[in-house]
Amino acid sequence: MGDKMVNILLVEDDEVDVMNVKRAFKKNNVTNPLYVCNNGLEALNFLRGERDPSIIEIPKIILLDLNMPKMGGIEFLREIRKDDKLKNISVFVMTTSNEDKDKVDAYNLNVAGYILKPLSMERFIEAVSTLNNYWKLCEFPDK
Amino acid sequence: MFQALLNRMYRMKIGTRTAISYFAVIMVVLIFTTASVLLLQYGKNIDIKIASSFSPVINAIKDYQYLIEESGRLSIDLSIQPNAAKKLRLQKIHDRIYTRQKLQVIGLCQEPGLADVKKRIIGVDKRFELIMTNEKALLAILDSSVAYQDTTKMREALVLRDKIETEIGKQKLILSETSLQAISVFNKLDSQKFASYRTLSYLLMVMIFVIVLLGILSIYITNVTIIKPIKELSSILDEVGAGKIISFQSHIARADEIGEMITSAQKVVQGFKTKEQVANAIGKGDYDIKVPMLSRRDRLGKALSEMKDNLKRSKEKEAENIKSLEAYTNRLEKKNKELDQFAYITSHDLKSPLRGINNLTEWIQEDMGESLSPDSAKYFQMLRGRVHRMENLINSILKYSRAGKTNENQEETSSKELVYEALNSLEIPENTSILVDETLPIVETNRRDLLEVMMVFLSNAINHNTSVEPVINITYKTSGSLIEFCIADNGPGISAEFHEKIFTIFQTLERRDDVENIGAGLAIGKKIIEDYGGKVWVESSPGNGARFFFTWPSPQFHA
Repeated sequence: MGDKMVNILLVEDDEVDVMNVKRAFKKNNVTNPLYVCNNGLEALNFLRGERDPSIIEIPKIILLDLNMPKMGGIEFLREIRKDDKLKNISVFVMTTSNEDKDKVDAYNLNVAGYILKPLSMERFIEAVSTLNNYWKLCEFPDK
Repeated sequence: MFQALLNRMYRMKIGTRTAISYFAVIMVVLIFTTASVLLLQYGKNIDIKIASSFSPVINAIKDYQYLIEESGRLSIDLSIQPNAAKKLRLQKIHDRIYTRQKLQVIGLCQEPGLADVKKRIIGVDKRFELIMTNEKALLAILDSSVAYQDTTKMREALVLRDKIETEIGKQKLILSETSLQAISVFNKLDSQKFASYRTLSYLLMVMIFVIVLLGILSIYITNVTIIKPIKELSSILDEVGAGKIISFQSHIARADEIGEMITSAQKVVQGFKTKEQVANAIGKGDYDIKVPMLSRRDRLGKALSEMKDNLKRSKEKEAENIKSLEAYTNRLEKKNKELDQFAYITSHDLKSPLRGINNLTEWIQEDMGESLSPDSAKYFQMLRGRVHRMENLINSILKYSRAGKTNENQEETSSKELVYEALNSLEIPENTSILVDETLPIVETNRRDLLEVMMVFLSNAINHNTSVEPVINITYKTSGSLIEFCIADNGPGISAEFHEKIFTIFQTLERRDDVENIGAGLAIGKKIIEDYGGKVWVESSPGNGARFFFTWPSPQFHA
């Protein structure tokens, strides 16, 4: 179980936030392969193998920001839920938006969780740790 | 037939009709007067006739009769003994008197009514000629006194005397009858006179009757043809005057003044009716209808036309206003959307760089570790404090911009429960006493809105209370359809100059560095209360605590 690392895709446009996630991963000794896309469109291209055909395994987990240029998080979610190959991916929304509308939209598109980005680093590390424990516990289909 | 007469009358002017009726009455009076005058004349003529011929005729007959009797008497006397005077008298009668008398009688009997009398007298006259012959013979026999001695002659005379006597007796009788007959003729004439007078009285009666009849007829005709139509017309005009517009049709075609009046009234009503139709059309929004003008002096028509034009203008203006109002509303809606968008942007786009700054400072601090001076560490701490404050400010803006009446889930809610719910979610220092009026009413609200408001005032009362033993008192009273809540505390109090200011967003009475307070709560509470149509105010002075009041509508009041 532990030796099988699932790929993780981070869709985030803010460089600091990307660093933040990477740092939190490091702190929590999360070693899963992490791919980064800067917006929804890029992430879609990536998942459909148009950017890097060498990726063998489609990421099982996506950490998704909502407010991004070109294609926002909710729009991206709609796209992958329509795509037969991608609709099973677990998506965790990590956002600053505390809007009810965003939360409702996200859960309607079957997200695994909706996490508000805390201001302090410490609490974010805690959150990532919890997530790590969660997806370590979960079984994912092979293909 | 009477109807035909009436119809003919309707075609005449009233003046003509009146003239005709006057003429008729005058004619009747004239005819009857003439007839009366004629009758009177007739009677008078008879009277004159009687007066002029009755007595003379009767007297003449009498005289005639006497004359005959006298002559008989004389003859008889002379037959007995001679008398020169009597003999002379008799001869005079024979010679002149008789003829004169006879002619007088016959002359008086010229009246047609006396023809019989005349005939009889002529008959008598013929018989008397014979008598006269006998008398003359008698005189001839006894022509001397000697002859009276002569018996033969006396005998002869006696025979003659008897004849004469008999004959004269007969004629006397006839003449008496004739007298009576003449009297009866005059009586007949007299009765004719009376008959003419009777006729005259009948005629007068008939005239009075005819005049009365004509009067009644003229009154009836006046009533039917003038008074009744005028009354009907005036009652119709009364109704028109009262505002009821009825059309009416005269059932008789008439050319007189009444007919003209009816035509005029019809014109008036028709004018009103047209105006009514036009006014209705205008009322229904047809501003292009042409207002028919009765004449150039038609003031109502002019007024209506002006009204129509004014209405049309004001409608156009109104349409313009609506258009500009719509444009304004659209602009407002757009602004509202922009404001929403702004709030959204603030909550995300402004917050993420903040978080970035926060993260970066933490990483710097982490990476530098022990090499960071205590002062720098403190500065980093303060930097992060300001970042947190900034985030709170942004969140407050967002909250304030979204605060207001929620139209969904308006229901009857116990305000008491809401107060307890708010108190449960607040951190309350140990020694604080909170007194809640147990009769706090049921209000109609969205739970979250009133809860938010209660939280604002309760947290305000708790957080700013510097008293050793804080006391907070929640009460209410009813004023009309509003519930007036009061949250009183025994805190430091607020001086009057800040009573308005505290309800403005981001206005705080203390330094944020001393008491970390954003200063949005009361502003948010005020916004929600005012959105519900309520009011909020504070009664306070320094050192005497503060009493915050706000009103909340209670559409259905529950005691």
